[in-house]
Amino acid sequence: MASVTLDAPAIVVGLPTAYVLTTAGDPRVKRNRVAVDWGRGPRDQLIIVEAVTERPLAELRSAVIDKPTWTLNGIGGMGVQIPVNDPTLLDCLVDPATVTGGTGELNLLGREAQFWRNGELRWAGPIVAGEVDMGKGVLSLDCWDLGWYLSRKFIGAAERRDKLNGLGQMEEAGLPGWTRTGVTMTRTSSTKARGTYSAQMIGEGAATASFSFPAITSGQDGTVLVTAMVKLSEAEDIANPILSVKAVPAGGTDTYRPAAENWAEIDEDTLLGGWTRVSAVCHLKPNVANDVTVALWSNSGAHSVWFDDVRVMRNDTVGIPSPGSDLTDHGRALVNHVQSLEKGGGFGLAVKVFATCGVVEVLGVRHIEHPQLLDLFDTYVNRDDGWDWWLDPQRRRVCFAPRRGQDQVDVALSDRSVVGGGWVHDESEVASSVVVLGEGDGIDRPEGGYEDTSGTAGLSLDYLDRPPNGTRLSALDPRARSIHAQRSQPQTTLKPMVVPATWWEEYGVSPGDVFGNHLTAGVLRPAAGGGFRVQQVAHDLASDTLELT
Amino acid sequence: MSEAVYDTWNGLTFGDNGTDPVKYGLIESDDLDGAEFDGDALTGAFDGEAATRLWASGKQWVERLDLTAAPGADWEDLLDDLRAATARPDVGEFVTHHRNTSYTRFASVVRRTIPRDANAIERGYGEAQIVFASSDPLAYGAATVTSLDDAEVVITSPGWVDSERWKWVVPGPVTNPQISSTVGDSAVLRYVGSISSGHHLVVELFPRGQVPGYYAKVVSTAQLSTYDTIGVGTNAYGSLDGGAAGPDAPQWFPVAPGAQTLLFGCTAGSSGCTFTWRPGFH
Repeated sequence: MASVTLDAPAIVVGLPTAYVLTTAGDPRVKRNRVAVDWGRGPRDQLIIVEAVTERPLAELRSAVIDKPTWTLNGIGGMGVQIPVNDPTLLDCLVDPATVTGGTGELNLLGREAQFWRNGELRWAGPIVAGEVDMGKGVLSLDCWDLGWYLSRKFIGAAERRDKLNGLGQMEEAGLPGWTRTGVTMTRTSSTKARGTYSAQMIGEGAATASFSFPAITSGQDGTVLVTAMVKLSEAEDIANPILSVKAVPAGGTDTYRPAAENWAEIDEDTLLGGWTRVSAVCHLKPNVANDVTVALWSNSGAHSVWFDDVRVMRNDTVGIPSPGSDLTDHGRALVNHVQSLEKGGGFGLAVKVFATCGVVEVLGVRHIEHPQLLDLFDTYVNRDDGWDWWLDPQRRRVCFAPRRGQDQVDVALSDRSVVGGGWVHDESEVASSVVVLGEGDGIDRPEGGYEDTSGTAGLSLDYLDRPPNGTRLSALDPRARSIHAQRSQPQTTLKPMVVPATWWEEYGVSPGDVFGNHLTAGVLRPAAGGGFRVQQVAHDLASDTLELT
Repeated sequence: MSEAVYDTWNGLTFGDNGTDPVKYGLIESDDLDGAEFDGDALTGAFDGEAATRLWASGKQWVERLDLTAAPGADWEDLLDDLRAATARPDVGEFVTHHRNTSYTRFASVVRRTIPRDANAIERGYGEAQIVFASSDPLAYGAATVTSLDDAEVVITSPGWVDSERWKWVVPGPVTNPQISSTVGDSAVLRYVGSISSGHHLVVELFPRGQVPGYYAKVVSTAQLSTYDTIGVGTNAYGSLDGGAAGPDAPQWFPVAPGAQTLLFGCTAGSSGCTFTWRPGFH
């Protein structure tokens, strides 16, 4: 650096530090944290779209993407960082109704992030959280892949579905839907168990409500439960009826399987003078529609009885009845069920079964247990004859197959082909002599043992095992041999393999792929070959590599 | 004020009275000749290609200045000019010179150290330091406006590297306007829909990482000069794609150094379009 003018003083002296003043200190500058797309590298795009419809809203070209991740039998993620002064945020991640003065509030759910590379949609999922860092001027977003939607669904609505469609809440004026016989039934707010009103009855007779129930098959649970809150007078007598329910097969007049459980009556334990819950049960005749009638009873014209929160519920079970279907169809049915209208609509996820498991079973999931969908998925994933599932963001579908992935038999993972990775070879826990203790602690305690020092160059390295109580004497020696078989081998822990991102196109690397015995580093290879199955693929855009875990 | 500069740089002496001096200035500030910032003080890895790949961290560089002025010059006024020129809070345009050619850099000022003391005024000499930050390592040439109708137009960029600073304006009425470039196989940008008379489609692209990343709006003629204002116009991004045979996402393309062909097309009602671009240098 030199820039001297003709008019400069003849002698230029260095200025003392005191003469140079910092005028602005360290201002907080909202600078971008990203560099341009240099040259003709991959064309990456982060596009924000409407959820489900996938209508594009905006493209965040200022975004820094942190590792879009694809996970087998799970939910992948992606991090995104955006300068807070990117006005494009107003087009896609800000609630328009809140925009005043050029700023607005974040509105994330209902939007999805899509990561495109070279015109191909590779990753998509909802944006679920955002963190604003005012110091750095950066908005950090947490995105999960489309599987996140499935993690937010369970089987069965709250309290299951009320077959009376709310009639028993006694909230509507005139209490429509109830047929009075010998009684008067009026809405009152003077006492209630739930909501604003209850039904006050007086007289000798009943108020009934009926509905028709479609035919169920023989394999389904036909139990119908009616439950009600009731407030009885202290003058009520033992054995007076309170509540009843009956099912009459269509075309007939007789109650199907009449039983005492069809009735709720006053007994010695029934609370009088306060609200208490009573219930009754009937059963539906299979293979034919049933007319179900619920009756609320009043036993005297001298005192009232109040009813509230009367609901009729089935022990709802969703599933595939006998003779059942392939296990992959179970996955298909479960995804379709949680996306049904009665579950509040879906996420636009289609289902694709690539191949069947060949195992046919019935499926039954009780609503009352409200199992999470992905917990149900895990029960299939954990079976040897089960399936894998994954999300296909391009076609927006949930995929099932007995096993995902390909055997990468032609791809060698060596120190010349991978960017990073390796393994830990640990012999610190190797044992050549195993002792298994029997029961008791005296000198007469039996012990099993096994020793083979051939793998440890003659060194005797001991391992002591305390088996569970009740282990039979004859099992001690076999247990020692079994433990020796396990512990005589070194422990090999594979580190994530980092490979060029071009493997995506060249080899179609994806979760579920199996790399067989091809792991080498120079003259070394892991114990037992080191073959492994890819559980997760993460794309590091900064280094343009794939991290295989 | 001096009219010429003796410049010694890396052991070479450039210029003389009456000859064109070689300057390495970054910021031009009228009447403050000494504030021609020294280009070889660039320390932000701006030589050659960016050190990091796509979507990595931004860059910073420092300018150290020798400030001189004629005896009797109004230093305070001159320094005020320098402060004003470096006070831009957001990304601004700064003119740099290289071999007497002007280039533009897009950066923001992170920190300034500008002398205020009386001694500097008395001596006619001072030192200043400006710290710039930018996520765009390129320097750009002057903007060039190219008009296109339905025919192919060859543009030749004097740049050295790809540039993603361009603006495409299509006046209505027009239906499904599309612009493509021979710079790449899928360099296609199409608006699916109709632009009515009295309205314009404005698509402006900035390098990745710049804020804003792009503008894509439909604006009225009256709004054409203020299309980059928040709230002006209608967001057109949702109607952009990569052409009839291309991906759903718009396929942005750069202006490459050298010759390339731009092709504008539409399905109805074309009054042509304008494509404004800056060549890229580094």
